[in-house]
Amino acid sequence: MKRRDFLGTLLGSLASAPCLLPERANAEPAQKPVVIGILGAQNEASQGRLWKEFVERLRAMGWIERQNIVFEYRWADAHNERFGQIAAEFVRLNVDLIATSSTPTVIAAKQATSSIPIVFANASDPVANGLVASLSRPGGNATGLSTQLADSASKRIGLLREIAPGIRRLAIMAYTDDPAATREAKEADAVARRLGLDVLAPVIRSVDDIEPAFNAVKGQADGLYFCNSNLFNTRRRQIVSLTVAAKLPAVYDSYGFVDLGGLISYGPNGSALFRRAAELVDKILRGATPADIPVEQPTEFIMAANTAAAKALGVEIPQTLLLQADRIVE
Amino acid sequence: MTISLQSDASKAGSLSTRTGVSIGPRRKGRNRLFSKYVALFVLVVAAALLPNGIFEILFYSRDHKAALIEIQQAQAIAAAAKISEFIKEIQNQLGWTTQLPWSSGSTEQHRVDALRLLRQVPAVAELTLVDPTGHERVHVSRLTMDVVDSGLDLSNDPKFTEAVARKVYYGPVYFQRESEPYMTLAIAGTRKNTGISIAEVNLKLIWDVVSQITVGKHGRAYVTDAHGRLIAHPDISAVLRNSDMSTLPQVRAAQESYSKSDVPDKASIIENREHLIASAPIQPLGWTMFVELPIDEAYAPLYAALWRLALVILAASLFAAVAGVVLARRMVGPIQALRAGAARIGGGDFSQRISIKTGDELEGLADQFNEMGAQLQDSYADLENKVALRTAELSQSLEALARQHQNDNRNIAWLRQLAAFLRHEVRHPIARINSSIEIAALTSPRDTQLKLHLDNATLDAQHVWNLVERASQATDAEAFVRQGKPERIDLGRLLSECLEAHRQTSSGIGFQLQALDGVYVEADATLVKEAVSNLLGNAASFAHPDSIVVLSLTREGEDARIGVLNRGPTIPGDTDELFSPFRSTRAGPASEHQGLGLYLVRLIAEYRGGSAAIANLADGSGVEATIRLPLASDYASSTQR
Repeated sequence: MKRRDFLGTLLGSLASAPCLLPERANAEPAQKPVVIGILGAQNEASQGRLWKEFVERLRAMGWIERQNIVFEYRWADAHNERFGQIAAEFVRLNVDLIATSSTPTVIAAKQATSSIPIVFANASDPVANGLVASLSRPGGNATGLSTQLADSASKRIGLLREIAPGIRRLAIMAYTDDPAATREAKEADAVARRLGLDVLAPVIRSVDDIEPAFNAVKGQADGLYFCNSNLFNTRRRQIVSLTVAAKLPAVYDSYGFVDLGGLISYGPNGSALFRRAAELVDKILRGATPADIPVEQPTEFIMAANTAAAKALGVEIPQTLLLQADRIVE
Repeated sequence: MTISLQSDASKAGSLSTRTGVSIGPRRKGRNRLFSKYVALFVLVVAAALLPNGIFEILFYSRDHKAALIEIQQAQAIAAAAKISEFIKEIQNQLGWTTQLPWSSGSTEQHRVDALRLLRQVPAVAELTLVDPTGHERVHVSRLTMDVVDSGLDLSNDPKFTEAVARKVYYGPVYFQRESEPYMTLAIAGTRKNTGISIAEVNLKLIWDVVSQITVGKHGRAYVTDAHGRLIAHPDISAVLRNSDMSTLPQVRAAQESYSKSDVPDKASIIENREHLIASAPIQPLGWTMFVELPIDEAYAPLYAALWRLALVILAASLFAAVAGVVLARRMVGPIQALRAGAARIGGGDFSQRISIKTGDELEGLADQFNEMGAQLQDSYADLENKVALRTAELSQSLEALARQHQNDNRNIAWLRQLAAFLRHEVRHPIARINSSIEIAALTSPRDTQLKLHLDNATLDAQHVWNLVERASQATDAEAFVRQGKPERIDLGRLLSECLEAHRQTSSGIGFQLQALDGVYVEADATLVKEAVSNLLGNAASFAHPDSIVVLSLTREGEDARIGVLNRGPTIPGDTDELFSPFRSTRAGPASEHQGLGLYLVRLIAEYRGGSAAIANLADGSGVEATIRLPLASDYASSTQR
């Protein structure tokens, strides 16, 4: 053993360089800058901040814009047909990676290319919606972060009922052309029915259907549940104002609504998701394949509550709820 | 110290016959000593350094390795402790939820407690509060709505039973959706009526702890559960990929060591081609903390030290080589000077003086060489003088001899002239005397008295003629002999040739040859044959009939001895007289040639520095004639019998 050690050290010392080469610094200057195609499912107003955080996180890891990385922004403004168009354009441009968010865009991107890596910052249920083969091994060219919005539907409904325990008929507002939204709606429907609530599910196919949907449920429902979709996120103001006008307690999935006057929201931390997406992009740019990068589920959820909105509705947010809240708008 | 070679001008000139060639002949030995010394020096230094170096390497590497292992093991234990801490912290927090005893109105309070815990402990994804009877009372979660008093009976569930029995229950690690690692942690309150709290802990949050554990520069720490599944790793993707590490040697080794050792806290360590891996158990969870350090980094200080050592040894060797060269030159220089000087002296240049002033034995040796050179010079000078003297003497003798020879030649020439003159002049008178005698005889044919006197007169006249003739022949003989052209001849062969000739001409007499081989002389072959023939002829004439004439050839000292022995009448009186040219022969007036024959033999022998003699045999049975001739020069000096 001793002899082997000795020989080993001798040989090893000969084999190793006298100075340890420092591991390559974070920044790896490529020959030419990599091109990231940002398929913005919504618009700059609703998503700009989150993509900024994405870019910022990449910079922190050594990807300096215009030096070794270039971003191509395309905003689809929640128009489904544009997802495919933008994806096709990215393929033509031969981008090195497509970064996007939400389920329908990923579906469109996957249809456009099966070789260019796709990273999604959020998707409600990637396995069920066919974005990946499994969470631990996505298998294809897409990977990203799950939001478990369908799973957390139960929590949101629970929170709504805590504020307004008297709810008997719940209107589940979902953008019907979004498969993730419809899946979430289905889950919410099941939860509500288990609780013995009646469920209303107006069909919303486009932005023009939003107001009519409100009108449809105004007199009927005593509580609103909004399913996440790109369409709704680009129309936050409208939706909140309609909800306030309808004087209905509503639960949302992101605090963006609560900031604008929504009553209560519970959902994953969007910034954290976009930052983590940047880290996945960094991995892929350094050589990992999307097929081997597991999809991560959220660990951080943000509960936001608006006491003013509660007061306007004539309900009181219970103390226990306020205890849990991460963000309170007054 | 000075070393130099110089010619000593004060002494006589050198007897240099081969100086130009002498310096060079031994090229083979050149510079051998020098390189030997240098090599030896370097070797000695290297031999001194190398074992030292090797020992250093050995011990340093051993110590380094031991220290490294200790550090790594300590790190593993510390890291394991961190994980334990993390879990224990969750436990502590959970403890707050089991403070409250269960009563009818306390459910809401419990719920608030539970919700608060969710806020305070991000790692807990779900929390179930169970009353002492084993029924679920409160269930809060991050994904689902709160459930209160569901009535779920967990009294037979190990989570409940174990927690009640041992106060804490650590469930196995399971992977939600085969991706996210979770574990169940259940604790019981201090009092019996507080029930238990069951938390589902999201182990992803150990990631923070694990990723902050720094192992050197490039090392990392990771955790596996009891089955070898990876549950924490700096790269979370590795965990979420649900990696089964149980086949890795370090995992297996760790599990083996735990199953064997009674001391669960002991850390173990294993080394493979790339990493040094220390592991420590995380009790009581049954997990294992691995701390991995790349071999390169682990041994970097060692390698650096080795390189330094190698450089030092190299530098020292170089220095030794340089110093060796310098020192060897100083040592070898005088030796070289000595060699060159000795070569010169050996070559004959005795005037060379070697000057070495090193103050040691080499200087002494140089002095001795110089002395030797001086002595040689002296003796050579002596020799030269002696040689010169001898040469002078020799040339004087030679001159005398030459003069003598000239004289002899002149004498002989004069004698020949005289003889020839006499012969020429006497012929006529003798002829006239003969004719007068004839006429006188014719005038008185009947006077017998007169005829007697006339016959006597004729005989005497003939005798006079014979004498003159013989004198003439004698001088001829001298000249004849002097004409001889000497060459190196094999006497043995020559004698046998003579004998053959005589066998053919003489009958009734036997001839026998007793000759040694390889007897060489310098003489004219014809003359020697003539001499030997003469002796043989004589012997044959005087030998008893049917006796044998023995011709022998031997060596006597520096001479070759030819003997011709015959049985017959002995010779009376002085045998030496027989060789005189002017002596009558024994046979009679008719055989004039025989009279000169022996004289010729003596002439021939003596001309070559030899001799001729005749002696009676001791027993008086016969006579032996001998010729002695000096042996040919190189033969004479090389053999001795």
